[in-house]
Amino acid sequence: MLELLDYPFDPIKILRKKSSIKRELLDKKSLIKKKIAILGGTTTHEVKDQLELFLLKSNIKAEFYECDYGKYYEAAIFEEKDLYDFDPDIIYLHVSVENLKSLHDFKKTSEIKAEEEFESLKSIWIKLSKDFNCEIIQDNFELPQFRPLGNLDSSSPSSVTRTILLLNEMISKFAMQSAYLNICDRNYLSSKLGLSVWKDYSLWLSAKYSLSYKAITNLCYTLSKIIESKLGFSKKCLILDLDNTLWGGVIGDDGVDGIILGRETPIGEAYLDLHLYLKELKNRGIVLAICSKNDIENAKNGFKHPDSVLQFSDFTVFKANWDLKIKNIYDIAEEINIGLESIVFLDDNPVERDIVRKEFNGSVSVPEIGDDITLYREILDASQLFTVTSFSQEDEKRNEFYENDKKREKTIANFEDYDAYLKSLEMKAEVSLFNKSYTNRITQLTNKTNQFNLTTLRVSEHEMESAINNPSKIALYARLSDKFGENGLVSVIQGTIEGNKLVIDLWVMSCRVFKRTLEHTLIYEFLKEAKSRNIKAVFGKYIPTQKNKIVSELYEELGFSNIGEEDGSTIFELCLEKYEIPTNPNITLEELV
Amino acid sequence: MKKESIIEIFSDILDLEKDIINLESSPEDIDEWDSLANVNIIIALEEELRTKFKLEDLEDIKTLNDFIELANKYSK
Repeated sequence: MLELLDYPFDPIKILRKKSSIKRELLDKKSLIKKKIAILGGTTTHEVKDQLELFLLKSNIKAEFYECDYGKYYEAAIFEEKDLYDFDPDIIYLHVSVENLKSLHDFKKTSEIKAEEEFESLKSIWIKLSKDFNCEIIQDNFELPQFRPLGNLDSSSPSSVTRTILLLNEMISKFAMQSAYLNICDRNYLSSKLGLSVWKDYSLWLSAKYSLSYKAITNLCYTLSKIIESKLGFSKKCLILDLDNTLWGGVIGDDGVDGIILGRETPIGEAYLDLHLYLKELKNRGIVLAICSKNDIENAKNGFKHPDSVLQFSDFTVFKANWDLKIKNIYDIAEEINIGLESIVFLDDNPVERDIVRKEFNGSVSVPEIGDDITLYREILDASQLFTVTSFSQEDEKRNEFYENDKKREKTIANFEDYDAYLKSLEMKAEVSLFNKSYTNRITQLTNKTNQFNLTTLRVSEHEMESAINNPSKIALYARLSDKFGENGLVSVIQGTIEGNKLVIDLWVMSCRVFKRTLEHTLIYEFLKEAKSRNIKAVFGKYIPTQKNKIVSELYEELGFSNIGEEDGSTIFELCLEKYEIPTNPNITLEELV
Repeated sequence: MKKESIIEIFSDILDLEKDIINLESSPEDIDEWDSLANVNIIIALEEELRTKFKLEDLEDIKTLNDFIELANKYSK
């Protein structure tokens, strides 16, 4: 029944089957727990129920707090005790046009009304972020369903439409500069669904729901994607089939002149539009790969079609062979060193989709695109699988990084031993205390990294910022470059000082730079910093998860001793007083100016 | 609309075995049947019948039997 939670939705079926879907989902192992407070201006019951399901499907078990009906402002500003006891990890403000008190005041201009409403919301965000130091999600607002002024509502001084547009723009501007505010784009969702479907007036009258049930399902799906992205669960790689997915026809039979692609025919244009969409995904940092049952030369030829927007070089991995697709998917994941749960698989063939779904049991996402090219882009887009909540430069560069990786791999083959290879890379690292310009990337790396991650601490940008200039924290990041180029900010370590002890509560490294000995450079610098602050002993923790086995022996390799278990984690100790901090011969430290 | 499909809606939404629900069942004797569940039942029934109930027709609806009569009225 879990497929009910995949786009396209049947909201009434979800409504009916909620309880049994939930039971099925609760059987899942290793759920991550999060506390979510919903502060609503209208009824939130169904929002909570459906959000819970979507999150469970992504392995997040949410515990909820809902404020009293309509009391979102009071709960925040007057410090509602239950909310403060609950101490949320994430706060969602479900505020609706019905809550905008000044909206219909025709004596005020739209500008003044928008400003007033914005200031009221802003005071809530600032208060909540100060008190809870957590991520906040705020709905923006849909346009009015009814317009006494008619068409003129778009251009009159005290118009409702203009007030909402101005207010939405103010919220957007604030979110762009804020480290903690995320918008749930209700305005977009409402226009996609259509306002007359988005709202249900009887439901408003009978139960004070601001939205229709169809709208609630769509809203909750988007909310769940925002939350997943905050926790580092968004997808990073899209694996594509070729024949009848990226062009019409079969390249092996029809040849490059026979496949359907380009503006000459309606179907050809639809494939071309899909190319353009995928190219945009690639440009914003999604890794593209091919997995097709074809001879490699035939497959490559398809991209020589004069109208093909996508080029052979756009694909980080290109698998065209007669192996099973699931084998190719495993291989692709290994080659670019990402987890299966970061992968989306796009194929027009329902049999292939089904096999992949069954094999990976939900970890690889397989959008139900059907076999109609006019719907592929629609369904892929509405699935929102690549949701990000902020955009770092690293995202745009990710493809470049992987390209460089491939060059490095080719070089490896030419060396006699691994040390000689490492030397030849001419690696340089920049290691430094956290600073504000990197908090976005530091947070993103911390939340996305699953393999080289000792404690699986998930953090908000806010929390990371608070480590800057904090005398009880030692928090370092590392950037790495080599002769093939820049790898970016790839590792972070943070410890908390307790007297003359230092406890490492966070240590992550991007899989892009595994086996490059950067972990040595970073820990040595970390220990130097600790020594300079008179730390006598350093403690490391390893909390095992399904994915971080790679670092289970890290501390021992670095000379720490295993001193036992505590609440499922293994604790290691290094006596810093007696320890000579070595230097890493493979990586030169760059002096910071 | 068949009585069985209506009972099925109730059983889905209230998350109860079908045989617990009878014609005289009402919010008074089923804990799960609160006002929000009642709204969900109405929405699901409307979808099933592809209709929209008038608010005045919902005013005196209490028992399962009332819902069946309501459904019959709108199926005509």
